[in-house]
Amino acid sequence: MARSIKKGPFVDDHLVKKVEDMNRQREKRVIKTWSRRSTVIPEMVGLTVAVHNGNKFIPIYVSENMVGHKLGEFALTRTFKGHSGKKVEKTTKPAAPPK
Amino acid sequence: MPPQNPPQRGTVDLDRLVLLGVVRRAHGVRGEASVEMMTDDPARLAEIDSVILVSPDRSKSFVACVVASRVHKGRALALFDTFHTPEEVALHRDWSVEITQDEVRELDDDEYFIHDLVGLEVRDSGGRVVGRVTGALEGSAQLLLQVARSAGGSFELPFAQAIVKRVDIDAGVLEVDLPVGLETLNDPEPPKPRARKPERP
Repeated sequence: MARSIKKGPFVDDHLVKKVEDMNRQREKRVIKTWSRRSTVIPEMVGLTVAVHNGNKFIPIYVSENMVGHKLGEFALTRTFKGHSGKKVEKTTKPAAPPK
Repeated sequence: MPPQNPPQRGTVDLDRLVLLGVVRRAHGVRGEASVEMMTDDPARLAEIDSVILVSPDRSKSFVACVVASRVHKGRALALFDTFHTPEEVALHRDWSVEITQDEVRELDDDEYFIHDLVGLEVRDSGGRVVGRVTGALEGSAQLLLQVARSAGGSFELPFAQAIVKRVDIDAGVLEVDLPVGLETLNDPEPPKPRARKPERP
């Protein structure tokens, strides 16, 4: 069910405080958080947030297209086998910085 | 466009092949194979004239021409000249569909093959060797490079322009500007000293 617009997006207060401090200091530091339920807000864009997945922290570089999603969506909780170097015709591009 | 160096039968070097997909099952009665594509584009087979089919244990391989290909439910349905019946396809279930390195598609300016990133040496902007990329995880945010630290342990590095400043595949170097705390993100914290109970008077 959709959340009422008048309430605004939900973000845990302690996370908002960390984000505001980081933006004020203009420091490049990872923000550790367990708050998977918090919504990504525009103030987080360009920061690196480490979201706990129940086992360890997953570092996420927040980009503009993540705004509005929950942080937990980007830190998967299930085991995933990644690419080990086997030659596959699969490409990637580095995530672009905010404009 | 025909490939510049089409693979010749009997002259396949299996170590120089690049995986496109895996044959999963037969489709229909004409000998079409349903191929699970590992590439970015499931329609990639339509651009290729011939592929090399390699058995799961890599002991057998042969060259097959792609007669026709189309995308169906996220998979490629390919008609190879070597298969004429569904039974022939079923015999080659889980065989991988590969091409030679000369036939891989051209990359954009800031585009990289994931397998090329694995093995690169990670250095910070000061030239300090941080570690080496040992693998890559595709998360829902961005690609995460797994880096084995020179000092022991490992950490995950988001593949973002703000962090990865330069990628030099030829030199085997990845230059990064690490945010504070990323390298030691999942290191166990040292145990806190236990607070002493105040002595009773």
